[in-house]
Amino acid sequence: MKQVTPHTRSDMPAVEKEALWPSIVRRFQQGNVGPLPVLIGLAMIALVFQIANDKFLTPVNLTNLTVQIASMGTISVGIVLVLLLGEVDLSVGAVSGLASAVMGVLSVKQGWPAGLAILAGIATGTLIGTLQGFWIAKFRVPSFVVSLAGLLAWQGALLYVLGTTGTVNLTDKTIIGIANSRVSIEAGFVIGIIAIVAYAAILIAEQRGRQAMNLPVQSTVMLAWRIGLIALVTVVTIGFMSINRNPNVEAAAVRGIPSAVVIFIAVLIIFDFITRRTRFGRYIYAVGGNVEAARRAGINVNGIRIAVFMLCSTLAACGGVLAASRLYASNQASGGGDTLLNAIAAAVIGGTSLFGGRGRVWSALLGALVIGAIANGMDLLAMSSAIKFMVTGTVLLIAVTLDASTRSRRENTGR
Amino acid sequence: MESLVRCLNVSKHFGTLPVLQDLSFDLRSGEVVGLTGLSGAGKSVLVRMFAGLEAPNSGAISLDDTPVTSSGQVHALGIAVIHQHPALVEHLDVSETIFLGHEVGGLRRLSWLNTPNQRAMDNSASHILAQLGVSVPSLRERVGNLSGEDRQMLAIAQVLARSPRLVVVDEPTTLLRYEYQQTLLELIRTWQSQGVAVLFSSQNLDHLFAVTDRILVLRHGRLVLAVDTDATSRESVVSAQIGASDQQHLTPMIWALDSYHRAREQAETLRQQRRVLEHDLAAQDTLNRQLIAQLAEQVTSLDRANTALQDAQRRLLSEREQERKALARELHDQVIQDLVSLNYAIDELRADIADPEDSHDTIIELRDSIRGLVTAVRDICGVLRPPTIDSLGVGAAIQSFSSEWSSRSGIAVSLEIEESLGRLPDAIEISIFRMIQEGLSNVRKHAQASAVQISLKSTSQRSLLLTIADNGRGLTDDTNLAALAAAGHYGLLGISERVALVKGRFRLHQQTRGGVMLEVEIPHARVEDDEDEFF
Repeated sequence: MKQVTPHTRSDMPAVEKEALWPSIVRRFQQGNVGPLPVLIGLAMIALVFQIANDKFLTPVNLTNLTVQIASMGTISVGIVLVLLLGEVDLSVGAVSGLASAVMGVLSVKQGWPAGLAILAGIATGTLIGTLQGFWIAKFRVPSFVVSLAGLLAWQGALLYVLGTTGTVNLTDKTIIGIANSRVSIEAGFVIGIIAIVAYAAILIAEQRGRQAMNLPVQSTVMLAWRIGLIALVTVVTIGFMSINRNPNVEAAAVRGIPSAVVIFIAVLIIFDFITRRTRFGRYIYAVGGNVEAARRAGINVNGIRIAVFMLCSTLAACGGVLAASRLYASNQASGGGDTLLNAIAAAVIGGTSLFGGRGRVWSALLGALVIGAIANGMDLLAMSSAIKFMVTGTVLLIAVTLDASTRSRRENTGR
Repeated sequence: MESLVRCLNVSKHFGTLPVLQDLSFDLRSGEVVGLTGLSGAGKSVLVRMFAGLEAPNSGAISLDDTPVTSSGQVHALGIAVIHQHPALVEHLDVSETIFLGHEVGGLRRLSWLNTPNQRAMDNSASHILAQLGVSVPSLRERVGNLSGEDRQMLAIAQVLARSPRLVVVDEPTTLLRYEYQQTLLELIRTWQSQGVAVLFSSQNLDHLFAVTDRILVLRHGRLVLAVDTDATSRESVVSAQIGASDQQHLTPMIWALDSYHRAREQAETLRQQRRVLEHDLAAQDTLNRQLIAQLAEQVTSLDRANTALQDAQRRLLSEREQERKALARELHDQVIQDLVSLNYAIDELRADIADPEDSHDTIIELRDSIRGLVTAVRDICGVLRPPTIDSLGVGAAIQSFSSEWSSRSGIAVSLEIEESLGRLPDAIEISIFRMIQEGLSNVRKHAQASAVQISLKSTSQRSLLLTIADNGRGLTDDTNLAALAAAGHYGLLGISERVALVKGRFRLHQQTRGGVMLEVEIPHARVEDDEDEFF
């Protein structure tokens, strides 16, 4: 039997660089297609709406779209974490509404300073998540049931907090500024370029490290494609957002990256780092993949569970704060309606497996883009909510079917 | 030495079913203790308690007086467990799996948020795998893509990645092939020499007696035997396992247990080999079947061709004989009669001539030469077709031919022909005659003999034996028919072909007193005359 010899490069032909096309074909055969179907779907959606209405691919609309999805996407990041564990959290919508109400009431009615009110709103989420996680981990009650109970209870709490008025109109500039201010063009480009360079540096360092360890590496062409694509998307996005969005040319120009989008992207980057680079992230995948294995490895499974539910509810609260800030208000409908379902659908459409242990934080962005684009496009075409829901439902079904069939293909090929 | 591990009054029950009852034992550092018992004796539950995955209902397991309470604290205590069936995370890669829960690098304080040093882990992972003799496609290969055996080896590698003070091994060998089993036993010895305590749970007596210092036997959750390995025997271990002391019951039991394990090991190896073979065979089988079919077809067609060829040759030979016969008859009936009548005519002519004196001598000469011609033609006829063979049979033909040959060649011929031979089928008679012709001609050409002995007799009612023996110089040692034929000598080859055509056997003997004996055995249908006599 051949032994693994880490320091000789020549005797492991299997690590030869793989060409672009064969690697794509192989990934397809293994059912390891990554975000490709979502990207294709997104491109098709954009194409269809652009043909139907030429306002779809305009700077104004696209910027609106990203602001619209920032809240849903942030909640969806938390859902991704919970799904990675193989669990589900149905209370995120209610929690986001309650957090926004707590913030609104404290700021407007109690006159708390903005920072404290925001922190209190987010802390509400953290507290709720910890409680629900503890219940799920310690009492072995299925997360479905605990979060369903939460959905009802926190909905009630929201109504209780808002009291008889039912609506709190936000007036504090800081709170409103969370979602409604803009980063200047110069700062936007500087941030964008720094992000691209950092991304390229991380990828290249990773490649080097793999080569040094004689591990399989992707081809330089593929690497260049990845960096180039991300750079292009970033520059084009920032460029789009730098164009004046104010239809009134005479008035002051409206340009720059909306702060809600910056917050959402920051959340994505932070949680991508946490899930992929830290022990904690690795343990989430381990617990979601095989609880017994995680337990045997000495991982504090209950601790991971509680932490993940805590993070999920915290992110839901953040999403609620973002939404309230964008809409200048917190009311009885906050976090209601399709908030919960869209957040879960976004995570799943983005490619996070419902069966645990598989998925990426970035799928929250992709899924949110898909759902947001459908909603936005249909609004442009003045279609009814009825059709919007039906189309979104169909897309969700397709995405879950893809996940299930990928899973069965993996099992069939022993992968 | 102080005890490292103390298991004190441990009891466990599932519902009302007692699994472990009041179990107590100690383990010292550098000691290998075997744990055995039949299936269901409680071994695995005990192992899971060591892993912190089950809690005892009463009593405690402690390491350096710290009781084991949860799986999270087990590794910190320095306990590592190799379970019977590995549990691994499918989506993690090899390197991540080996170091799961024990990632290298980063700050201890904020251990959850630190980022493990992947390169350091890859390095030591590949060293550990090399040490175990395990080969994986890559350290980034997902565990879900590996075989059951490789996964079990990864579970062992997880233990090597830590530095435990106590290793609990729960019968992992059922999934492993022989080499890996030996690797594991070697590993246990290494741990022993490094002062690591090992609790080795196994039903395999070979393994237990190979590495352990002490053996504990569980039966129905109770510790029934705890002895030094050197002071016990397989019989007593097995008797403790099954709770019998009767030697007569024991022997077949130990035999059964021992051979059961050996058989299971072999079965495992065999199963793997069979899988490979089946795979190969499936591919080979179709090819083989095609080849065999083709071969059979070729053989059949060859047989058919051969038969056809023999038929053709037989027909050719008999047709030639017919032709010769016809030719001889023609010569006899036509040419000779003409010549005779010509002779008479000349005689008459001589009497009628007026002046006989002038032409007398000429006519005499003429007549004499015609007589000479007649004799010559008669000789030719005799050679072409022995005249006696058709009328008097092969015996007479041989007699007349051999006496004529003898006087011609000056070699003495002695004949021994069975009187009761009677008439034989036409083809056989002519074949025998031709063989003798050919044989004698060979003797004259090559043997330098002074005497030839021919015998023809029946060995049974259905076969004849013909021998032709000379007293000549014999054959060279390397004589063979193919070489002779290649050199242009067809005599012996012709004989052998004739023998083959009548389905007989042909042999050449080098005689001890010099010369060659040719022996031909010919089967034949019974001759009709004989049959007549028979009735």
